[in-house]
Parts: sequence; C-alpha cells; structure tokens
Amino acid sequence: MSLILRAQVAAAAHDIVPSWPVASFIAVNPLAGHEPRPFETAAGPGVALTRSRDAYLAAADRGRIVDADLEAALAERVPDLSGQLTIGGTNVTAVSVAVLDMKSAQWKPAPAAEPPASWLDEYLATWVSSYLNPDPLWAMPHQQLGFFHAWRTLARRDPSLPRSVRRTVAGLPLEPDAALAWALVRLGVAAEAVTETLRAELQHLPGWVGHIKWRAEKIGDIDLTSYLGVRFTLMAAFGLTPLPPSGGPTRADEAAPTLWDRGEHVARSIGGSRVGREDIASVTRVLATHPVADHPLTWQKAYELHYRSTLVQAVTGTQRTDSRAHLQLVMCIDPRSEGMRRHVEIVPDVETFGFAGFFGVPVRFTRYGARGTVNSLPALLTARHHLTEHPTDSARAQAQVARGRARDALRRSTHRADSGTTTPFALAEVSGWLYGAISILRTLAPTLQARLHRSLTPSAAILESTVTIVDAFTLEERAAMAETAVRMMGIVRFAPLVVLAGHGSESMNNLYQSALDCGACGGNPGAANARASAAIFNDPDVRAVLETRGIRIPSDSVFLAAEHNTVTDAITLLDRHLIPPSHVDAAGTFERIQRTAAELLVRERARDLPGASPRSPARVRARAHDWAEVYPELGLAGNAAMIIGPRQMTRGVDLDRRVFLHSYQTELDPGGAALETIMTAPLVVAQWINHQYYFSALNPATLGAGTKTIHNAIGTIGVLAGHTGDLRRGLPWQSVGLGDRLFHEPMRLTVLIQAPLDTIGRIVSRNQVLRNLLDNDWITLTARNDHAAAWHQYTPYGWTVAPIALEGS
Amino acid sequence: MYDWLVVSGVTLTPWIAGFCSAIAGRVGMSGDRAARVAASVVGAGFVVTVAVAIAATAGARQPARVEFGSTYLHLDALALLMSMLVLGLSALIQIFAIRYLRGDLRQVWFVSAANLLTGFTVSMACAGSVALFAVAWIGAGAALVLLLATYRPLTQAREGIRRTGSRFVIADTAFLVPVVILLVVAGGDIPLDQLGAVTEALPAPLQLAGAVLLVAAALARSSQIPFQGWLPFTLAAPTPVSALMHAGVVNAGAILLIRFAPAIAPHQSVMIGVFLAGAVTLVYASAVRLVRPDVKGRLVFSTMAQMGFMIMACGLGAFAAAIFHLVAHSLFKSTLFLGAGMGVRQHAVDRDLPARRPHSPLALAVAVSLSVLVSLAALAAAKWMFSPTVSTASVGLLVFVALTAAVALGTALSTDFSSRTLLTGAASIVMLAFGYVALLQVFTVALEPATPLDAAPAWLLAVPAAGLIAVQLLSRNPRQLAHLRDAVYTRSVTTALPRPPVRPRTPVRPRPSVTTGVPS
Repeated sequence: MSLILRAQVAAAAHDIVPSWPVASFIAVNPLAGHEPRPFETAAGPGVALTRSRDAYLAAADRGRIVDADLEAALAERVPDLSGQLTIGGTNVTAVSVAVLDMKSAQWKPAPAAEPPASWLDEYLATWVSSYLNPDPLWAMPHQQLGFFHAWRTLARRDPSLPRSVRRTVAGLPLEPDAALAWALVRLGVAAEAVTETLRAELQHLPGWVGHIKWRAEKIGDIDLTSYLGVRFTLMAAFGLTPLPPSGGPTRADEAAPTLWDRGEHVARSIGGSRVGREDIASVTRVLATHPVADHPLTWQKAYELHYRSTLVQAVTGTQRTDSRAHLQLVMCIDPRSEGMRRHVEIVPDVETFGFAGFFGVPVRFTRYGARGTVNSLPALLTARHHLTEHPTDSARAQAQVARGRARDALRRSTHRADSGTTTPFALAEVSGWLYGAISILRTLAPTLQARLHRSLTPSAAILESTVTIVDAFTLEERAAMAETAVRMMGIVRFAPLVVLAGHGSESMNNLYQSALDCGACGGNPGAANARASAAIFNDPDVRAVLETRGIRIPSDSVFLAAEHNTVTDAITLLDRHLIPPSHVDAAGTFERIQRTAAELLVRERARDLPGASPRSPARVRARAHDWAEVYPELGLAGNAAMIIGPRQMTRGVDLDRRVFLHSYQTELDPGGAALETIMTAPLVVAQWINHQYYFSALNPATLGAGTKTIHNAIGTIGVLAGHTGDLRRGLPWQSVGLGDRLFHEPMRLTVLIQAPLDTIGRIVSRNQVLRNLLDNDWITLTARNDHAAAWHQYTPYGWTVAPIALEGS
Repeated sequence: MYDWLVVSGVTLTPWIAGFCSAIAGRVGMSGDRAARVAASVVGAGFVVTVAVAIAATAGARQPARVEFGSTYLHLDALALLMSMLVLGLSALIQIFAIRYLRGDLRQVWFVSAANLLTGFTVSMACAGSVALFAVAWIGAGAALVLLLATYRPLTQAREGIRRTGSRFVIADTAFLVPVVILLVVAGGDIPLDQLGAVTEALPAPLQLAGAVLLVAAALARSSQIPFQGWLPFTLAAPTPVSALMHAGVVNAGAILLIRFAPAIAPHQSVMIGVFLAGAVTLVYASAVRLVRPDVKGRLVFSTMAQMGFMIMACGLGAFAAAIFHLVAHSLFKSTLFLGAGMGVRQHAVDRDLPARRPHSPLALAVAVSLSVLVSLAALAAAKWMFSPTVSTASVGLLVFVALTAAVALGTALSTDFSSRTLLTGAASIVMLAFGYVALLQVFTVALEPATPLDAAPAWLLAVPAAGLIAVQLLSRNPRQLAHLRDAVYTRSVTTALPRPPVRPRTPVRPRPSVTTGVPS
C-alpha cells in the first residue's frame, strides 16, 4: 500500500461532493468543492451559473427586475461606477449608462451540454454498477475481494476485451494502488503531474465518482483508489492518453460586441445623432469597468436583490405579545411549512414555530419487531442513539407480527418465483391477469386502489406504541436536547397544547420520494423524531431538570407529536392513545383548525401545481396514490430565502412557501450559542437545498437528474437515464420545471436574521464554512438588531446599510 | 353493413386518435388535451372491440370480414383477442401517459406515434391476407422506430433508433422476399387461409427458403437471437413506450408465425430452428437478467427471455399456449414497466416487515415436499377436469407451471412456517392452478390451428430446461466450475457494451519492480 499515492488520490478527490443514495436523498451543493472560492469561478464545462440573457430581459419586461435593482447590483459588483457624464448635451449617471449597456449588450450563457460518454466511461459504469448492485440476483463472483481485485479476476475472462488487454490484466498487481502506480508510469505521467491527472480523470462519470466517495466514507466496500486503479490500468492497456473532459469554453464571447460598439450603441441611445467620438470614448471608459463577461452575474444579482427588497419590505416589526397562546404548533423550517403555519395562524390564539424537522432528536429508528432501521437525523450528524417502539398491547403486537410474516412470505415467494431462471414464465402466465387488473385500478382509480391496498395490508404505523426514549438517551441527554430546542426556537411561554409536527411526503412510483421528505431527518419522514421529542418534553424528569435551568414548562402543557403530509396537507396526530383526557378537547380543536387550514392550503398549492386546479382539491390529494403522477407535489421548489427570528416578523405575511423559517428569540440566547448552532447547521442545510435546486434548474442535463420519464433505478442507490451510463445527480426536471419553463426561480439563498449584529459577526468570523459562503457570494446575509432597527447587509468589510429599492412590483 | 361497422369500429379508432393528435400538434393545441382526446378515442375502440367479442362468442355467426378484392380484414378469434389486448393496453398506457408526460415537449409526438403503432398493430392482427399483413407488419416496425425517436436529442435514443432500425430493415427485407414471390405466383393478394395451397405449388427448396426468411422477421421483431441487440437500447424512450411495446409489438413474432403457419409449419427443420432460436435466447437473456443491476434492464432482458419462451412454444406447435403466454405476459410486464419507480417505496415498506426466523431442517423438508405435492396434485386434478386430452408439448409446458408453484409455495413456507401460510398458500395454488388450466383450455379451443403441423418434438424442451438450471446453479456462485462461472458472468455483464477502442498491438506487461511504491 502506497501512502503517497493514496494521499494524491485523496487530494485529487478533495473537491468531489459525496452523493447520497436516492433512497435517503440529501440535497447537496453539487459545486460545494468550489465554495472556498468566489461563486463566479465555479463555472466549468457544462456548468451554467446563470440563466440566459433572454430570461433576464423577459424578467425585466414584466417588472421582475427594475432599473433600481440593476443599479443596486452594479453598485455592489462594480463599486468604482460613480459620477456623472454628459453625452450629447444630456447629463447621465455612470450607473445608468452601465444599465443601458446591460440591456443591449449580447452574450450567450455557457452551453450546458452533456459531455459525450466514451467507451471507457460506459465500461466502468457497467462494472461499478454491477459491483455495487444492491439487490443482486447473481452477486458478482469474488466480490469479497474488493472492486479492483474482483474486476481484475473477472476481466481476464472478458471476451469483449482484446486478448492483449486480457493478458495485461492478468499480469496486474493485486493491490489497486500498485496497479495505479504501474499504470501512471506506463502512461508516462510525471510525478508532479499525478494529482492533476487523477483529478482530471475524476471529472468523468461524476455521478458514480460522487457515490463512490460517499460509499467509501459510509460503507467502505469500494473507494476511489480501486476505481482509479481500474480506470488507469485500462487506459494503459489500451494506450489511451489521459485527457481533460471535453467541453466548450465556459463563456462563449465570440458573439460579444467590442467595447467601442457597446459604447457607441449606448451613447447613441442617450444622445441620438448629436453624439461625438469623445462622448463615445467617455461612455466606453465607464463600460470598461463592467465587461460583458460580468453581465450574467450582475443580472442574476439584480434578480435576487429585487426579491430581497420585496421580502424585506414585507417583513414587519411588531413586538411580541405576552398573552399565553392556546395552541402552539412547531413545524420544520421547510418552506412548505410556511403555508401551513400561515393558514393555521388565521386563528388568533395560535402560535407557530419553525425548527429543524428532527426536533433536535437524532436517532436511528426501528419499528416494533422490524428488520430494518432508518437513520432519521441530519446528514451532518452520525447516528448514536437507537430508538424503537414498545407496543402497549402485546397480543395485538403479536398479531401484527404474524400478519407481517405472512406478508413477507407472499412477497418473498413471488420475488423468488420472479427472480429464478425457470420460474418467471409460468409466473407471468398465472399472475399476469392479476397484474393487468391492478394496472387498470391504479391508472383509473388511484384512490380506490390505495384504499383497497390499505385494507389488505394495514401499515405498521397503526400499532399503538410508545417510543423508547428512556433506553435511547440518558436523562442528561434528554434534558440537554430539550433545553437546546427551547433556546433555539425561542418558546417563552408554553401553551396548554404544543403540537410538534414533523413532515413526510406520500407519493407512489416516485424514485425521488425521499427528496420530498424531511431533509433534517436524512430524507425520511419525521414522525419518529416528533414522537421522541414529544415524549421527552412530556417526561416529568426532564421537566424537573429544565426547571433548574430556568425553563419552566407548566404542568398543564402537553406535547403531542404529529406528521404533516406535504402532498395532502393533512396533519395527523400520532400516538393518540397518549393524549390525556384533559387535552382531548384541545386536540380536537387542533384537528378542526388544521382541517380548515389544509383545505385552504391545498387550494393555494393547486394554483402552482402543474395540471391541478383549485376547484378540485381532492385530485391534488389523490396525487399521493397516483402511480402515473410525476408531479406529486412541488417540494421545495421556489425556495429563495431563510429568515431567522421571531415569527412576529412574518406573521400574517404571505411568503408563498418560499422561505425557510427558523424561530429565534435573542432574549433566550444571551451568549449566542443557539444562534451559532442555527447558523452552522440549519442554515447550511438550507443552503445545500437551495443550491441543489439552483443548479438542478440551471443545468438539468449535467447537475440535475433530467426527466423522470426515462429514469432507470439501480435498486435504492440512484438512477440512470436510459440503459447505461453515469449515475444521475441532483433533482429531476419535474422538481424544477414543466416543459421548457422553470417554475423554480433559481436564486441564491437570501438570509435574514434578527439578532445583534455583533453576535452574528462574531459567529461568522469564527466559522470558516460561513465565511466561505458569505465572502464568496454563495449566499447573502442581511440582518437587523431588533424589530425597530434598520437592515444591514453583511460584506467582507463589515456591515453596510442594505439598499432596499422602493419601486417596482 | 354490419361487418363494415364492426371491422371499422375495431380497427379505425387508433388511426382517428393519431390523426387528431397530429393535427392538434400542428395547430398548437396543448399536448394535454391532445393526449386526452386520443386516449378517449382508443378507449372507445376498446369498448367496441369487447362488445364485438362478446357478440361473436354469443352468436354463432361467421367472423366479421371486410373485403377489397382478395385483400381483406377479418375478425376471427385471434384477431379479436389481439385487438382487445392491443387497444386495451394502448388506451390504458395512454391514460397513464396523460399524467406521466404532462408538460413534456414531446407529448404530442408520443401520442401520435403511439397511435400509429397501435393502428398498424391492430391492422396486422385483423389482416386476413398476405399483402395487408405485410404492409401492417412493416408499418408497425416503422412506427416503433418513430416512437423510439420521442427523445431523439439524447445520444442513447439515437443509438436505440439505429440499432432497432437496422435490424428491422434487414429482417423485414428478408420477409418481403417470400411475400413478393408468393404474391407474384398467385397474381394478387392471397387470403391467409389459402396460403398453404399457394405455397405448396412452389418448388420444395423455395418453400424452405421462404419459411426461413419469414421466421427471420418474426425473430427480429421479438428480439430473438441473432437479432437480439436492439431491445435493451430502447430504454432511452419514456417508460410508457417500453410498456406499449408489450401491446403486440415485441410479441408480434408469435402472430406472424401463427398467421403464416401454413407456409412455415410444414417444415420440421424450420420449426426446430424456431424452437432453438427461442430456447437459446431464453437461456441467454435469463443469464443477462440475473446480472443486471438496473430495474428496467432486468425487465428488458426478462421480456427477451419471455419472448424466447413464447417463440419456443410456437416452435412446438403449441400456438394456443403461445398466445396465452403472450396475453398474460404483456399484462404482467407492462404493469411492471409502468411501476418501475416503485423500488424505493417498496424498500421502505419491506424495512418494516418483521425479521425472518431461521427454520429447522425438518420444517424445510416438510415445506418442500408439501409444496411439490400440492402443486402437482392441483395441476393434475385441474388438467383432468378441464382438458383430459394430453399432448406431450402441453405436459412439457405444464411442468414449468408445477415447478413455479412448488417454488412459490416452498419459499412462502420456508419464510413463515405457519398454518396460516400453509392454508392460504395451498388454497391459492389450487385456485390458480384450476383457473390457469381452465383459461388455457378456453384459449386452446378458440385458437387451435386447422393447418397440419410438423412441429419440433417436445423432448427438445430438455435443452432450454438444462440451460436454465445450469444458469441458476452458476448464479449461486458455486466453488466448482469457477472458470465457467466467471466467464458466463463476465460475458453477461459486458453483453450490452459497445466495442472497445482500437486494439493495442502487443500486451503491455506490468513490470514487477513497480508493484509497490509511487511512480518516479
């Protein structure tokens, strides 16, 4: 084993973003490796950072970008643009000259083309997918030897390889790094160029490479050294020289007009025919500060600033009222919660809070008697606590297990009959008729089919049980989690009923269902975490400890867990048998309020959902069971901002389900520890999601997963488009667009915080990840000290008063 | 008049639907509306066909037919059955695709091409004469290629078009040679029921050559060896296309073999060739399917294997069994294709199932013997009750059923050895066995050919059976036969790969000195 080569591989792979399997979809910034550098340097072959010129001009036409936004964007990006100039007798500002230029100068966005797949890529994709095959009907022989060794053993018998290559393979060393070293020598790669060469080769098959990196960290059955070992030995055997991936230049400026042409055009549009050479020259001097290559990002900035202005203006400044609410609802920071919270708050004495959807309780969860576990926690954490269920009625639990076994027997027998070699023929003949009937039912009557299915196979979720928080956590851990949660979300007074609603999405035939579930729960529904959190808050021991730390939960306050189904918008109360008799009425009231809110919210969502109509909410709900539906819901499409602060800032404001809302009260967090946690965990996760949507929308062919309609799943690992090729990254087109139109507006996350500016500044300067994001313009941060203070914008040089444009729509 | 109404009601709806959607695309109507109209029209066609089929079964009148000289369309049992299947599946898949392809820029293209394909397929099923069949056959092939062009900008889609198109052109040209010779000899179109008489007039070598060329077209359409290399490349078309291919497109090989049986079936050597092509494809595709990691890849190779089974049945002369398999499998596989995105959800559901318990060897032995006994008894009883006449081929095919029932019941019992599983399992096996044999008998009565056959002998079934069992054993990764196992596995993995780049002249030998350490 060669440590130096391993280190070189690790260095070459440093910028590669690990990609999670599709069954536990974690949104990532596909260009996260570029975060330590300015946003605009992230462009590369097949990677567009902005929309097209036409899209921005169309936005300007409909008032989505106004001149004030362009001026603000220019002021930010080109600080030396100032002063006045006179052209043909007309006085104009330099900024307005630059604005005119932006509207007239032509540019083309980077071509976001799919790089052509070589034979080597197809060959490697085939072998890697066969090796990682998650549910193999025929497991790869020699798999236990590791990827390189197994391939080396098998490739000797591969008749598709030329005999000379097979002989070369047979003589390879057994260790991947030794083989890689041999291949690098053979290819004549100089020692100082090794890392660069490896990095260039890792640009091919980015989907598989990203998954291999994830797998090496989390599972360990394959790593990039063995992948590169196969790749380079084949290249050496075939005599292929390593080449960087082909792709056009990142900015196609051939069509860009010369500076003089731009100056002349702008000058004439101001001064008409009276314009002389000196006028054009002075305009040209202004325009030289803002070359055409910078235009796309200035447009994008203006596009984002306009949204920020409207958002900041919408945010109000009312003070907190001190009366005790009757009902408090805590939901995930997910933008979809915003719609529900807004509609629930129509009732005056209801308060809502936003908090990460795992409610601060990271667990590995197993249902009662179940064989599998779920890691229900943010991707930033590792699972250390194992939570399971304890049934209240053991006889019922036994019956449930017996039913489960019978069902397992049926599943396994059809699977075995289908996956053998001799049996599928008769199986098709016998069960084809039944399948046909199922197909008809699923297509024509999805809701009826779902009801039938549910009555035949009752879900494991209906068993009355309690979650085993006492086994999973010590008292100290429970109390610490509860305290952190209270301080982070800033609940000052507890209502008699506090509902903690996690969320999950129900859809059928949807490989990306996990992308619609709770990201804070590792792409899983958040019910288990909500149940655990409610149980912790109801625990008298925990309350006693909290009391000693200055947090008093009144004895008449009861916490209930619930789950928000983001397709149907129903919030179902969980563990109903645990509701004390004194609170049954309150729970009933909550359900009534929630039903009304859900009805309103479904109709509101139907306006944006492709093919839906506000007049038929039932059909929107039916999408949860419809196997033909590729738009079960819009997920987090449209997400654009995150607001950290008390709900009073935004209560009553329609944020259009586009904003992550994290509750925060400065009073409860004097040291800023809770704010630091919010800014380094939920904020970063929101940024991942935001960039995942951003790049999937702008680069559907390379950084997005493309259309769902040709997706071909590799078990639960990921999808291919078509029969072979690279694993697709990112979100499918159906998450961001319809036809050739985007419904997700790609905007980098705008963060608004209401907290002392010094505290925020201290937190940013302490955390490299935040400095990277903010200083390099991956996200923007605007903050104010309190509800009465002015908004300030974070810049690497300190806080400046945020320009809030006041015109436009 | 009645015949005209009935035949046009059955055959014309897809053409109307396709025409409407093409017009809608031209005038810029939304794809959604075009898809809805087309699906409703084809759905209506399906309802009409079912009504006609019921009327035909109830009344004892002649099959409806419409003649244009010696060219004609007729609705015999096979035509009605296939029309019901094709129109029903097409309508269902089009309804599915209304939502599945919502907003897709190629939706209108899909709807138009899908209806073109459906129209040609129904015409082919109802064709009563050679020339009409040939036109519909070639039209269906062309329409399939158009349908594969739904996502033409994708490299993989273009590759699929190229591979499919080239194989169809070769095989359909081969098909046209005997058809043209026959038409010239007869001096006009030939009704299919007079095909035997016309063929017999030809010299014997020409008869044989003609039969071989006809078979080639059937093999290519059903993706059989040596024309197998196109089906896996069709996955760059949207999922509904893969499902629609099971509505009388990829399984049209059997229809051709049955319709042209008078020209093919008298030659036992050709029938054995058909059988062997099916058998070899069956074993090959079963092996590849086992190593594929992707769900649609498995489905595609499973289809190929199932088509091998169907072609094999044709070679045995068991035409009714082949059609029975065709219909059941098309329902089976189109459902699996449309639901190809269920894997993640299924995984989440399975996670909550109870952990499996190990079972004692005694329980296992009891489970195995019980399952074998129950399956055999149920099938024998059903066979005795519904179709006491026994042919070797049908017994041979029933062995597959018995084996499957035994495996299914045995697996269920070894997973959960309880009286509940035993009772429900045994009851289902008995019910399914009776239903299966009864339904197969219905097909046999309705479809048994009148032409004399010289089919492949039934003992040949031992060949694919041995191949399948060998593959099954190899897939368990035994310690023995490691070389054979590795070779079969590797060949199966790399079967769909393109050719490697230019060959190097001499092997490059790794130098032993660099087996450790970094390059310097």
